[in-house]
Amino acid sequence: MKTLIIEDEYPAAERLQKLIRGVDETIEIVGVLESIEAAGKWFSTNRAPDLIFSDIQLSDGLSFQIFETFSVKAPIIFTTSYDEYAIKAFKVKSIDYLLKPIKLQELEAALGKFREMRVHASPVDYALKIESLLDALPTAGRKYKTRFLIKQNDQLLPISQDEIAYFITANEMVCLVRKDGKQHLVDYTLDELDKLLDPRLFFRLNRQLIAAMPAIHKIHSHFNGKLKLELKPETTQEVLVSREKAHPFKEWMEG
Amino acid sequence: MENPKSIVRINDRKARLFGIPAVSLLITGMVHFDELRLLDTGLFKNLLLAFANTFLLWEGNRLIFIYARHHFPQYHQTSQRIVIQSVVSLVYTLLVSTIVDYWLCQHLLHVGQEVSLLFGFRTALIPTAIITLIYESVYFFESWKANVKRTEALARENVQSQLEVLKNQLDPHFLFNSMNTLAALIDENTDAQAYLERLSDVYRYVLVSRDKTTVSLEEEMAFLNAYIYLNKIRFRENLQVETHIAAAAYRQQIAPLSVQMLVENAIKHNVVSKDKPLIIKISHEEENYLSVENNVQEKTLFEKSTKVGLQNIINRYGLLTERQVEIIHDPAFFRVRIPLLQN
Repeated sequence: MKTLIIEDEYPAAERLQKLIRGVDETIEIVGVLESIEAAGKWFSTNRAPDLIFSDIQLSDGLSFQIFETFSVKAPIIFTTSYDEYAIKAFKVKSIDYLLKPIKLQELEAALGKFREMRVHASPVDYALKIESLLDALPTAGRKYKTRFLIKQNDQLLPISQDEIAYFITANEMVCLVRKDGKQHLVDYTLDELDKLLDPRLFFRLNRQLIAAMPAIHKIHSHFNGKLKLELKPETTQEVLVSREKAHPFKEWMEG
Repeated sequence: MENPKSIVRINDRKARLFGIPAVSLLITGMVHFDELRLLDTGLFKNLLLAFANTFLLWEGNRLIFIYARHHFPQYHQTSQRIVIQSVVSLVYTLLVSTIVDYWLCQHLLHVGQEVSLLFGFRTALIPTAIITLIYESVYFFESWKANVKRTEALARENVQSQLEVLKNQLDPHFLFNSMNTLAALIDENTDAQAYLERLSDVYRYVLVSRDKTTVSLEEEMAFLNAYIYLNKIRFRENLQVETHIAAAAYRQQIAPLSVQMLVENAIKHNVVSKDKPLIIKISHEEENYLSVENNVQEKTLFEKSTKVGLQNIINRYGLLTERQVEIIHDPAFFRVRIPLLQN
Protein backbone atom coordinates (compact mmCIF):
# COMPACT_ATOMS: atom_id res chain seq x y z
CA MET A 1 0.00 0.00 0.00
CA LYS A 2 1.54 3.24 -1.16
CA THR A 3 1.34 6.07 1.34
CA LEU A 4 2.39 9.68 0.96
CA ILE A 5 3.21 11.99 3.86
CA ILE A 6 2.90 15.77 3.58
CA GLU A 7 4.55 17.32 6.64
CA ASP A 8 6.98 20.20 7.00
CA GLU A 9 8.57 19.32 10.34
CA TYR A 10 11.24 16.64 10.29
CA PRO A 11 10.69 15.09 13.73
CA ALA A 12 6.94 14.98 13.12
CA ALA A 13 7.41 13.28 9.75
CA GLU A 14 9.91 10.80 11.17
CA ARG A 15 7.64 9.92 14.05
CA LEU A 16 4.65 9.44 11.78
CA GLN A 17 6.64 7.08 9.54
CA LYS A 18 7.76 5.12 12.53
CA LEU A 19 4.25 4.89 13.94
CA ILE A 20 2.81 3.80 10.58
CA ARG A 21 5.41 1.09 10.22
CA GLY A 22 4.66 -0.01 13.75
CA VAL A 23 1.00 -0.49 12.88
CA ASP A 24 1.46 -2.18 9.51
CA GLU A 25 4.79 -3.23 8.01
CA THR A 26 3.33 -3.67 4.54
CA ILE A 27 2.67 0.05 4.19
CA GLU A 28 5.17 1.57 1.83
CA ILE A 29 5.95 5.25 2.26
CA VAL A 30 6.48 6.58 -1.23
CA GLY A 31 7.38 10.13 -0.27
CA VAL A 32 7.62 12.77 2.42
CA LEU A 33 6.80 16.21 1.06
CA GLU A 34 7.39 19.39 3.02
CA SER A 35 5.69 22.11 0.99
CA ILE A 36 2.94 22.96 -1.46
CA GLU A 37 5.60 23.45 -4.09
CA ALA A 38 7.14 20.02 -3.52
CA ALA A 39 3.71 18.44 -3.55
CA GLY A 40 2.93 20.18 -6.84
CA LYS A 41 5.98 18.64 -8.44
CA TRP A 42 5.24 15.24 -6.97
CA PHE A 43 1.60 15.09 -8.08
CA SER A 44 2.37 16.21 -11.63
CA THR A 45 4.82 13.36 -12.13
CA ASN A 46 3.41 10.55 -9.98
CA ARG A 47 0.20 8.60 -9.89
CA ALA A 48 -2.03 9.11 -6.87
CA PRO A 49 -0.97 6.99 -3.89
CA ASP A 50 -3.37 4.75 -1.95
CA LEU A 51 -3.40 6.98 1.10
CA ILE A 52 -2.18 10.44 2.05
CA PHE A 53 -1.33 11.84 5.47
CA SER A 54 -1.33 15.59 5.25
CA ASP A 55 -0.49 18.32 7.72
CA ILE A 56 -2.55 21.50 7.25
CA GLN A 57 -0.13 24.35 7.81
CA LEU A 58 2.93 23.92 5.65
CA SER A 59 5.94 26.17 5.34
CA ASP A 60 4.54 27.85 2.22
CA GLY A 61 0.80 27.83 2.93
CA LEU A 62 -2.16 25.57 3.59
CA SER A 63 -2.12 22.05 2.24
CA PHE A 64 -5.69 22.57 0.97
CA GLN A 65 -4.16 24.54 -1.88
CA ILE A 66 -2.56 21.34 -3.17
CA PHE A 67 -5.91 19.59 -3.39
CA GLU A 68 -7.40 22.65 -4.99
CA THR A 69 -4.95 22.35 -7.87
CA PHE A 70 -4.94 18.59 -8.21
CA SER A 71 -8.14 16.61 -7.80
CA VAL A 72 -6.44 13.87 -5.85
CA LYS A 73 -8.16 10.52 -6.12
CA ALA A 74 -6.92 9.14 -2.82
CA PRO A 75 -8.23 9.24 0.73
CA ILE A 76 -6.55 11.86 2.90
CA ILE A 77 -6.07 11.72 6.65
CA PHE A 78 -5.28 15.22 7.86
CA THR A 79 -2.91 15.73 10.77
CA THR A 80 -3.33 18.92 12.74
CA SER A 81 -2.21 20.39 16.01
CA TYR A 82 -4.90 23.00 16.50
CA ASP A 83 -7.07 24.29 13.70
CA GLU A 84 -10.53 24.71 15.20
CA TYR A 85 -12.01 25.95 11.96
CA ALA A 86 -10.74 23.05 9.87
CA ILE A 87 -11.62 20.46 12.51
CA LYS A 88 -15.21 21.69 12.49
CA ALA A 89 -15.32 21.16 8.72
CA PHE A 90 -13.72 17.70 9.02
CA LYS A 91 -16.43 16.69 11.45
CA VAL A 92 -19.20 17.98 9.20
CA LYS A 93 -17.82 16.28 6.10
CA SER A 94 -16.73 13.17 8.07
CA ILE A 95 -13.16 13.45 6.90
CA ASP A 96 -10.53 11.68 8.98
CA TYR A 97 -8.02 13.63 10.96
CA LEU A 98 -5.44 12.99 13.66
CA LEU A 99 -4.62 15.41 16.43
CA LYS A 100 -1.00 16.08 17.28
CA PRO A 101 0.71 14.69 19.23
CA ILE A 102 -0.45 11.69 17.27
CA LYS A 103 -1.51 8.75 19.41
CA LEU A 104 -0.74 5.22 18.32
CA GLN A 105 -4.28 4.06 19.13
CA GLU A 106 -5.88 6.79 17.07
CA LEU A 107 -3.60 6.08 14.14
CA GLU A 108 -4.53 2.39 14.34
CA ALA A 109 -8.22 3.30 14.38
CA ALA A 110 -7.84 5.61 11.38
CA LEU A 111 -5.96 2.98 9.37
CA GLY A 112 -8.54 0.36 10.30
CA LYS A 113 -11.32 2.63 9.10
CA PHE A 114 -9.45 3.31 5.90
CA ARG A 115 -9.12 -0.42 5.14
CA GLU A 116 -12.85 -0.90 5.68
CA MET A 117 -13.77 2.07 3.49
CA ARG A 118 -11.44 0.95 0.73
CA VAL A 119 -13.71 -2.00 0.01
CA HIS A 120 -16.66 0.11 -1.16
CA ALA A 121 -15.30 3.55 -1.97
CA SER A 122 -13.96 4.42 -5.40
CA PRO A 123 -11.18 6.94 -6.09
CA VAL A 124 -13.81 9.23 -7.59
CA ASP A 125 -15.64 9.33 -4.25
CA TYR A 126 -12.48 10.44 -2.47
CA ALA A 127 -11.95 13.31 -4.87
CA LEU A 128 -15.57 14.43 -4.51
CA LYS A 129 -15.31 14.28 -0.73
CA ILE A 130 -12.25 16.52 -0.69
CA GLU A 131 -13.99 18.83 -3.15
CA SER A 132 -16.90 19.23 -0.78
CA LEU A 133 -14.46 19.91 2.07
CA LEU A 134 -12.88 22.69 0.02
CA ASP A 135 -16.34 24.16 -0.59
CA ALA A 136 -16.90 24.18 3.18
CA LEU A 137 -13.57 25.94 3.74
CA PRO A 138 -13.80 28.84 1.32
CA THR A 139 -11.40 31.02 3.27
CA ALA A 140 -8.82 28.34 3.90
CA GLY A 141 -8.32 26.85 0.46
CA ARG A 142 -9.33 29.53 -1.97
CA LYS A 143 -11.39 32.62 -2.49
CA TYR A 144 -13.94 31.36 -5.01
CA LYS A 145 -14.83 28.07 -6.58
CA THR A 146 -13.06 27.96 -9.91
CA ARG A 147 -13.68 24.36 -10.87
CA PHE A 148 -16.43 21.78 -10.73
CA LEU A 149 -15.93 18.03 -10.57
CA ILE A 150 -18.66 16.14 -12.39
CA LYS A 151 -19.05 12.42 -11.87
CA GLN A 152 -19.64 10.60 -15.15
CA ASN A 153 -19.69 6.81 -15.22
CA ASP A 154 -17.04 6.46 -12.52
CA GLN A 155 -14.95 9.10 -14.18
CA LEU A 156 -14.29 12.58 -12.94
CA LEU A 157 -14.78 15.39 -15.37
CA PRO A 158 -13.25 18.65 -14.21
CA ILE A 159 -14.99 21.74 -15.59
CA SER A 160 -13.25 25.07 -15.16
CA GLN A 161 -15.24 28.24 -14.57
CA ASP A 162 -14.26 29.53 -18.02
CA GLU A 163 -16.27 26.76 -19.69
CA ILE A 164 -19.48 27.57 -17.82
CA ALA A 165 -22.25 29.59 -19.49
CA TYR A 166 -24.83 29.48 -16.72
CA PHE A 167 -26.49 27.49 -13.96
CA ILE A 168 -30.20 26.98 -14.34
CA THR A 169 -32.65 25.35 -11.96
CA ALA A 170 -35.80 23.46 -12.82
CA ASN A 171 -37.73 20.91 -10.76
CA GLU A 172 -35.41 21.45 -7.79
CA MET A 173 -32.41 20.30 -9.79
CA VAL A 174 -29.54 22.54 -10.76
CA CYS A 175 -28.00 22.16 -14.15
CA LEU A 176 -24.61 23.45 -15.24
CA VAL A 177 -24.76 24.52 -18.90
CA ARG A 178 -21.48 24.76 -20.72
CA LYS A 179 -20.68 27.19 -23.50
CA ASP A 180 -20.82 24.34 -26.02
CA GLY A 181 -24.35 23.54 -24.87
CA LYS A 182 -23.51 20.38 -22.88
CA GLN A 183 -25.41 20.06 -19.62
CA HIS A 184 -24.48 18.47 -16.28
CA LEU A 185 -26.42 18.15 -13.06
CA VAL A 186 -24.60 19.53 -10.03
CA ASP A 187 -25.11 18.93 -6.33
CA TYR A 188 -25.43 22.55 -5.29
CA THR A 189 -28.38 24.87 -4.84
CA LEU A 190 -28.30 28.23 -6.60
CA ASP A 191 -28.00 29.93 -3.21
CA GLU A 192 -24.90 27.91 -2.43
CA LEU A 193 -23.42 28.66 -5.86
CA ASP A 194 -24.16 32.34 -5.40
CA LYS A 195 -21.79 32.31 -2.41
CA LEU A 196 -19.14 30.05 -3.97
CA LEU A 197 -18.72 31.68 -7.37
CA ASP A 198 -16.62 34.74 -8.18
CA PRO A 199 -19.10 37.66 -8.27
CA ARG A 200 -17.08 39.45 -10.91
CA LEU A 201 -17.66 36.60 -13.34
CA PHE A 202 -21.12 35.38 -12.35
CA PHE A 203 -24.40 37.18 -11.66
CA ARG A 204 -27.58 35.95 -10.05
CA LEU A 205 -30.15 37.02 -12.68
CA ASN A 206 -33.24 35.71 -10.92
CA ARG A 207 -34.43 32.76 -8.86
CA GLN A 208 -33.71 30.30 -11.66
CA LEU A 209 -30.43 31.52 -13.11
CA ILE A 210 -26.83 32.40 -12.39
CA ALA A 211 -25.01 33.40 -15.56
CA ALA A 212 -21.44 34.06 -16.58
CA MET A 213 -20.79 37.30 -18.40
CA PRO A 214 -19.99 35.87 -21.86
CA ALA A 215 -23.31 34.00 -21.80
CA ILE A 216 -25.27 37.28 -21.92
CA HIS A 217 -26.04 37.62 -25.61
CA LYS A 218 -28.63 40.39 -25.87
CA ILE A 219 -30.39 42.71 -23.40
CA HIS A 220 -33.84 44.13 -24.15
CA SER A 221 -35.87 46.57 -22.10
CA HIS A 222 -39.07 45.01 -20.90
CA PHE A 223 -42.10 46.78 -19.45
CA ASN A 224 -42.13 47.83 -15.80
CA GLY A 225 -38.40 48.50 -15.75
CA LYS A 226 -37.55 44.85 -16.13
CA LEU A 227 -34.93 43.50 -18.51
CA LYS A 228 -35.33 40.62 -20.89
CA LEU A 229 -32.20 38.72 -21.78
CA GLU A 230 -31.14 36.36 -24.50
CA LEU A 231 -28.53 33.91 -23.39
CA LYS A 232 -26.10 31.81 -25.34
CA PRO A 233 -26.72 28.82 -25.46
CA GLU A 234 -30.44 29.59 -25.70
CA THR A 235 -32.81 28.82 -22.86
CA THR A 236 -36.25 27.32 -23.32
CA GLN A 237 -37.90 29.75 -20.94
CA GLU A 238 -37.90 33.55 -20.96
CA VAL A 239 -35.11 35.18 -18.93
CA LEU A 240 -36.22 38.25 -17.00
CA VAL A 241 -34.29 40.45 -14.61
CA SER A 242 -36.49 42.26 -12.09
CA ARG A 243 -36.60 46.03 -11.81
CA GLU A 244 -34.68 45.90 -8.50
CA LYS A 245 -31.91 43.81 -10.03
CA ALA A 246 -31.75 45.70 -13.34
CA HIS A 247 -29.46 48.41 -12.01
CA PRO A 248 -26.92 46.15 -10.22
CA PHE A 249 -27.00 43.94 -13.30
CA LYS A 250 -26.02 46.82 -15.61
CA GLU A 251 -23.27 47.85 -13.20
CA TRP A 252 -21.94 44.30 -13.21
CA MET A 253 -22.01 44.18 -17.01
CA GLU A 254 -20.04 47.41 -17.21
CA GLY A 255 -17.50 45.94 -14.80
CA MET B 1 -29.75 25.62 31.32
CA GLU B 2 -32.24 25.67 34.14
CA ASN B 3 -34.70 28.47 34.43
CA PRO B 4 -35.29 29.64 37.94
CA LYS B 5 -38.86 29.41 39.18
CA SER B 6 -38.65 32.64 41.04
CA ILE B 7 -41.34 34.61 42.80
CA VAL B 8 -42.89 37.13 40.48
CA ARG B 9 -42.12 40.61 41.65
CA ILE B 10 -43.64 43.56 39.90
CA ASN B 11 -42.73 47.09 40.76
CA ASP B 12 -46.07 48.77 40.02
CA ARG B 13 -46.93 50.73 43.17
CA LYS B 14 -46.84 54.11 41.49
CA ALA B 15 -48.67 52.84 38.46
CA ARG B 16 -51.49 51.56 40.65
CA LEU B 17 -51.58 54.60 42.93
CA PHE B 18 -52.07 57.00 40.02
CA GLY B 19 -53.43 54.62 37.42
CA ILE B 20 -56.53 53.45 39.28
CA PRO B 21 -57.93 56.95 40.01
CA ALA B 22 -56.92 58.16 36.56
CA VAL B 23 -58.64 55.31 34.76
CA SER B 24 -61.74 55.72 36.97
CA LEU B 25 -61.92 59.38 36.04
CA LEU B 26 -61.35 58.62 32.37
CA ILE B 27 -64.09 56.01 32.24
CA THR B 28 -66.56 58.26 34.06
CA GLY B 29 -65.67 61.00 31.62
CA MET B 30 -66.26 58.75 28.64
CA VAL B 31 -69.47 57.14 29.80
CA HIS B 32 -71.09 60.10 31.61
CA PHE B 33 -69.59 63.02 29.78
CA ASP B 34 -72.62 65.30 30.22
CA GLU B 35 -72.79 64.86 33.99
CA LEU B 36 -69.09 65.58 34.28
CA ARG B 37 -69.47 68.71 32.21
CA LEU B 38 -72.42 70.00 34.24
CA LEU B 39 -71.01 68.72 37.54
CA ASP B 40 -74.30 66.93 38.07
CA THR B 41 -75.14 65.46 41.45
CA GLY B 42 -75.05 61.90 40.07
CA LEU B 43 -71.42 62.46 39.24
CA PHE B 44 -70.11 61.43 42.63
CA LYS B 45 -71.96 58.14 42.58
CA ASN B 46 -70.77 57.40 39.06
CA LEU B 47 -67.21 58.24 40.02
CA LEU B 48 -67.47 55.95 43.01
CA LEU B 49 -68.80 53.14 40.83
CA ALA B 50 -66.09 53.58 38.24
CA PHE B 51 -63.52 53.62 41.01
CA ALA B 52 -64.90 50.44 42.57
CA ASN B 53 -64.90 48.75 39.18
CA THR B 54 -61.41 49.85 38.26
CA PHE B 55 -59.95 49.05 41.65
CA LEU B 56 -61.41 45.55 41.81
CA LEU B 57 -60.57 44.73 38.21
CA TRP B 58 -57.08 46.13 38.32
CA GLU B 59 -56.08 44.50 41.60
CA GLY B 60 -57.79 41.21 40.79
CA ASN B 61 -56.39 40.86 37.32
CA ARG B 62 -53.00 41.83 38.66
CA LEU B 63 -53.15 38.94 41.14
CA ILE B 64 -54.33 36.60 38.39
CA PHE B 65 -51.38 37.74 36.32
CA ILE B 66 -48.94 37.14 39.19
CA TYR B 67 -50.32 33.68 39.97
CA ALA B 68 -50.27 32.69 36.31
CA ARG B 69 -46.65 33.81 36.09
CA HIS B 70 -45.85 31.86 39.21
CA HIS B 71 -47.41 28.62 38.03
CA PHE B 72 -46.11 28.79 34.45
CA PRO B 73 -42.76 30.49 34.79
CA GLN B 74 -41.07 28.88 31.79
CA TYR B 75 -40.86 30.55 28.45
CA HIS B 76 -42.21 27.50 26.59
CA GLN B 77 -45.35 27.58 28.76
CA THR B 78 -46.27 31.01 27.44
CA SER B 79 -49.23 30.01 25.26
CA GLN B 80 -50.62 27.70 27.94
CA ARG B 81 -50.33 30.47 30.50
CA ILE B 82 -51.94 33.10 28.30
CA VAL B 83 -54.93 30.86 27.54
CA ILE B 84 -55.56 30.00 31.20
CA GLN B 85 -54.85 33.53 32.38
CA SER B 86 -57.26 34.98 29.81
CA VAL B 87 -60.07 32.59 30.73
CA VAL B 88 -59.69 33.27 34.47
CA SER B 89 -59.43 36.99 33.78
CA LEU B 90 -62.60 36.99 31.68
CA VAL B 91 -64.59 35.08 34.28
CA TYR B 92 -63.33 37.37 37.02
CA THR B 93 -64.10 40.51 35.03
CA LEU B 94 -67.58 39.22 34.30
CA LEU B 95 -68.20 38.47 37.97
CA VAL B 96 -66.92 41.79 39.28
CA SER B 97 -68.72 43.93 36.73
CA THR B 98 -71.98 42.06 37.26
CA ILE B 99 -71.77 42.37 41.04
CA VAL B 100 -70.90 46.05 40.84
CA ASP B 101 -73.61 46.73 38.25
CA TYR B 102 -76.52 44.93 39.83
CA TRP B 103 -75.72 44.77 43.45
CA LEU B 104 -73.79 47.92 44.28
CA CYS B 105 -75.39 50.06 41.63
CA GLN B 106 -79.01 49.21 41.95
CA HIS B 107 -79.44 47.89 45.45
CA LEU B 108 -77.04 49.98 47.48
CA LEU B 109 -76.72 53.27 45.66
CA HIS B 110 -80.09 53.12 43.92
CA VAL B 111 -78.69 54.51 40.75
CA GLY B 112 -81.89 54.04 38.91
CA GLN B 113 -80.87 54.13 35.29
CA GLU B 114 -81.84 51.15 33.19
CA VAL B 115 -78.68 49.50 32.01
CA SER B 116 -78.60 47.03 29.20
CA LEU B 117 -77.51 43.51 29.95
CA LEU B 118 -73.87 43.21 30.97
CA PHE B 119 -73.29 46.87 30.20
CA GLY B 120 -70.63 47.10 32.89
CA PHE B 121 -68.86 44.01 31.62
CA ARG B 122 -68.68 45.36 28.12
CA THR B 123 -67.32 48.73 29.23
CA ALA B 124 -64.85 47.09 31.59
CA LEU B 125 -63.49 44.71 28.97
CA ILE B 126 -61.44 47.13 26.92
CA PRO B 127 -59.58 48.92 29.76
CA THR B 128 -58.98 45.52 31.40
CA ALA B 129 -57.49 44.15 28.22
CA ILE B 130 -55.31 47.22 27.79
CA ILE B 131 -53.99 47.12 31.35
CA THR B 132 -53.31 43.38 31.14
CA LEU B 133 -51.44 43.90 27.88
CA ILE B 134 -49.35 46.60 29.49
CA TYR B 135 -48.47 44.25 32.34
CA GLU B 136 -47.66 41.50 29.87
CA SER B 137 -45.34 43.66 27.78
CA VAL B 138 -43.60 45.29 30.72
CA TYR B 139 -43.00 41.87 32.24
CA PHE B 140 -41.78 40.47 28.93
CA PHE B 141 -39.41 43.38 28.47
CA GLU B 142 -38.09 43.05 32.02
CA SER B 143 -37.39 39.34 31.68
CA TRP B 144 -35.74 39.92 28.34
CA LYS B 145 -33.52 42.56 29.94
CA ALA B 146 -32.68 40.26 32.84
CA ASN B 147 -31.79 37.51 30.41
CA VAL B 148 -29.43 39.72 28.45
CA LYS B 149 -27.75 40.78 31.69
CA ARG B 150 -27.40 37.16 32.79
CA THR B 151 -25.86 36.14 29.49
CA GLU B 152 -23.37 38.98 29.69
CA ALA B 153 -22.43 38.19 33.26
CA LEU B 154 -21.99 34.51 32.37
CA ALA B 155 -19.70 35.40 29.53
CA ARG B 156 -17.67 37.60 31.87
CA GLU B 157 -17.33 34.86 34.46
CA ASN B 158 -16.25 32.41 31.80
CA VAL B 159 -13.60 34.76 30.56
CA GLN B 160 -12.32 35.11 34.10
CA SER B 161 -12.08 31.38 34.61
CA GLN B 162 -10.20 31.03 31.36
CA LEU B 163 -7.84 33.73 32.45
CA GLU B 164 -7.14 31.83 35.65
CA VAL B 165 -6.32 28.66 33.78
CA LEU B 166 -4.61 30.20 30.81
CA LYS B 167 -2.66 32.94 32.54
CA ASN B 168 0.44 32.02 30.65
CA GLN B 169 -1.16 30.69 27.55
CA LEU B 170 1.03 29.92 24.59
CA ASP B 171 -0.10 29.87 21.04
CA PRO B 172 -1.91 26.52 20.94
CA HIS B 173 -0.37 25.72 17.58
CA PHE B 174 3.09 26.07 18.97
CA LEU B 175 2.16 24.14 22.09
CA PHE B 176 0.76 21.07 20.33
CA ASN B 177 3.39 21.06 17.60
CA SER B 178 6.05 21.16 20.31
CA MET B 179 4.41 18.26 22.11
CA ASN B 180 4.42 16.35 18.85
CA THR B 181 8.11 17.06 18.41
CA LEU B 182 8.72 16.01 21.98
CA ALA B 183 6.87 12.76 21.27
CA ALA B 184 9.28 12.17 18.39
CA LEU B 185 12.28 12.91 20.61
CA ILE B 186 11.32 10.68 23.53
CA ASP B 187 10.70 7.90 21.08
CA GLU B 188 10.47 4.49 22.77
CA ASN B 189 9.75 5.54 26.34
CA THR B 190 6.12 4.49 26.64
CA ASP B 191 5.60 6.06 30.08
CA ALA B 192 6.75 9.38 28.73
CA GLN B 193 4.54 8.97 25.66
CA ALA B 194 1.52 8.23 27.85
CA TYR B 195 2.26 11.22 30.05
CA LEU B 196 2.61 13.49 27.04
CA GLU B 197 -0.64 12.25 25.53
CA ARG B 198 -2.54 13.01 28.73
CA LEU B 199 -0.86 16.39 29.00
CA SER B 200 -1.99 17.28 25.49
CA ASP B 201 -5.50 16.01 26.30
CA VAL B 202 -5.66 18.29 29.34
CA TYR B 203 -4.55 21.35 27.41
CA ARG B 204 -6.83 20.62 24.49
CA TYR B 205 -9.82 20.31 26.80
CA VAL B 206 -9.01 23.60 28.49
CA LEU B 207 -8.86 25.29 25.09
CA VAL B 208 -11.92 23.66 23.62
CA SER B 209 -14.19 24.00 26.66
CA ARG B 210 -13.53 27.70 27.09
CA ASP B 211 -16.33 28.66 24.72
CA LYS B 212 -18.89 26.46 26.43
CA THR B 213 -21.11 27.33 29.38
CA THR B 214 -21.70 23.69 30.27
CA VAL B 215 -20.30 20.29 29.27
CA SER B 216 -21.51 16.80 30.03
CA LEU B 217 -20.20 15.24 33.23
CA GLU B 218 -18.79 12.49 31.03
CA GLU B 219 -16.55 14.92 29.15
CA GLU B 220 -15.47 16.68 32.32
CA MET B 221 -14.62 13.37 34.02
CA ALA B 222 -12.67 12.05 31.01
CA PHE B 223 -10.62 15.22 31.17
CA LEU B 224 -10.35 14.99 34.96
CA ASN B 225 -9.00 11.43 34.68
CA ALA B 226 -6.23 12.67 32.40
CA TYR B 227 -5.55 15.49 34.88
CA ILE B 228 -5.46 13.07 37.80
CA TYR B 229 -3.17 10.74 35.85
CA LEU B 230 -0.65 13.57 35.49
CA ASN B 231 -0.82 14.27 39.22
CA LYS B 232 -0.63 10.61 40.17
CA ILE B 233 2.64 10.33 38.25
CA ARG B 234 3.97 13.07 40.53
CA PHE B 235 2.45 11.94 43.82
CA ARG B 236 1.93 8.21 43.18
CA GLU B 237 -0.09 6.59 45.98
CA ASN B 238 0.12 9.71 48.13
CA LEU B 239 -2.76 11.03 46.08
CA GLN B 240 -5.85 8.88 45.98
CA VAL B 241 -8.96 9.75 44.06
CA GLU B 242 -12.15 7.76 44.41
CA THR B 243 -15.14 8.30 42.15
CA HIS B 244 -18.65 7.06 42.77
CA ILE B 245 -20.85 8.23 39.95
CA ALA B 246 -23.92 6.41 38.67
CA ALA B 247 -23.89 5.75 34.93
CA ALA B 248 -26.99 7.87 34.39
CA ALA B 249 -25.37 10.92 35.98
CA TYR B 250 -22.75 11.14 33.25
CA ARG B 251 -25.28 12.58 30.84
CA GLN B 252 -25.94 15.58 33.08
CA GLN B 253 -24.32 18.92 32.52
CA ILE B 254 -21.72 20.72 34.57
CA ALA B 255 -19.74 23.96 34.27
CA PRO B 256 -16.48 23.13 32.46
CA LEU B 257 -13.31 22.89 34.57
CA SER B 258 -15.32 23.13 37.79
CA VAL B 259 -14.44 19.67 39.20
CA GLN B 260 -10.87 20.09 38.03
CA MET B 261 -10.61 23.42 39.86
CA LEU B 262 -11.77 21.77 43.10
CA VAL B 263 -9.26 18.93 42.72
CA GLU B 264 -6.54 21.43 41.92
CA ASN B 265 -7.42 23.45 45.04
CA ALA B 266 -7.36 20.31 47.21
CA ILE B 267 -3.86 19.45 45.98
CA LYS B 268 -2.70 23.05 46.31
CA HIS B 269 -3.84 23.62 49.88
CA ASN B 270 -3.14 20.25 51.49
CA VAL B 271 -0.21 18.07 52.39
CA VAL B 272 0.23 15.17 49.98
CA SER B 273 2.72 12.75 51.49
CA LYS B 274 3.30 9.11 52.25
CA ASP B 275 2.34 9.56 55.90
CA LYS B 276 -0.53 11.83 55.07
CA PRO B 277 -2.02 10.79 51.76
CA LEU B 278 -4.56 13.16 50.28
CA ILE B 279 -7.82 11.38 49.58
CA ILE B 280 -10.26 13.04 47.22
CA LYS B 281 -13.74 11.56 46.85
CA ILE B 282 -15.93 12.55 43.95
CA SER B 283 -19.45 11.24 44.30
CA HIS B 284 -22.89 11.69 42.90
CA GLU B 285 -25.26 12.45 45.77
CA GLU B 286 -28.94 12.89 46.51
CA GLU B 287 -30.76 15.89 45.03
CA ASN B 288 -28.54 15.52 41.98
CA TYR B 289 -25.43 17.06 43.42
CA LEU B 290 -21.84 16.18 42.69
CA SER B 291 -19.72 16.27 45.81
CA VAL B 292 -15.95 16.74 45.83
CA GLU B 293 -14.50 16.00 49.24
CA ASN B 294 -11.00 15.84 50.62
CA ASN B 295 -9.44 15.24 54.03
CA VAL B 296 -8.07 18.49 55.45
CA GLN B 297 -4.36 18.59 56.20
CA GLU B 298 -3.54 22.19 55.49
CA LYS B 299 -0.08 23.20 54.47
CA THR B 300 1.58 26.57 54.70
CA LEU B 301 1.57 28.44 51.47
CA PHE B 302 3.61 31.40 50.35
CA GLU B 303 0.51 33.30 49.42
CA LYS B 304 -2.74 33.25 51.28
CA SER B 305 -5.50 31.59 49.35
CA THR B 306 -7.34 34.16 47.26
CA LYS B 307 -10.39 31.89 46.90
CA VAL B 308 -10.69 33.09 43.33
CA GLY B 309 -11.28 29.61 42.00
CA LEU B 310 -14.05 28.71 44.41
CA GLN B 311 -15.68 32.12 44.06
CA ASN B 312 -15.62 31.72 40.30
CA ILE B 313 -17.47 28.40 40.52
CA ILE B 314 -20.08 29.95 42.81
CA ASN B 315 -20.52 32.91 40.48
CA ARG B 316 -20.83 30.75 37.39
CA TYR B 317 -23.41 28.50 39.02
CA GLY B 318 -25.30 31.53 40.28
CA LEU B 319 -25.90 32.36 36.66
CA LEU B 320 -26.75 28.82 35.59
CA THR B 321 -29.22 27.73 38.25
CA GLU B 322 -31.11 28.71 41.39
CA ARG B 323 -29.59 25.80 43.23
CA GLN B 324 -26.72 26.74 45.48
CA VAL B 325 -23.14 25.56 45.42
CA GLU B 326 -22.67 24.21 48.95
CA ILE B 327 -19.42 24.43 50.89
CA ILE B 328 -19.01 22.33 54.00
CA HIS B 329 -15.89 23.20 55.94
CA ASP B 330 -15.27 20.72 58.74
CA PRO B 331 -11.99 20.48 60.69
CA ALA B 332 -11.52 16.98 59.28
CA PHE B 333 -12.77 17.38 55.74
CA PHE B 334 -13.59 19.98 53.12
CA ARG B 335 -16.50 19.30 50.84
CA VAL B 336 -17.99 21.27 47.97
CA ARG B 337 -21.29 20.22 46.45
CA ILE B 338 -22.06 21.45 42.97
CA PRO B 339 -25.47 21.00 41.37
CA LEU B 340 -25.68 18.87 38.25
CA LEU B 341 -27.81 20.40 35.53
CA GLN B 342 -30.33 18.65 33.33
CA ASN B 343 -29.77 19.39 29.72
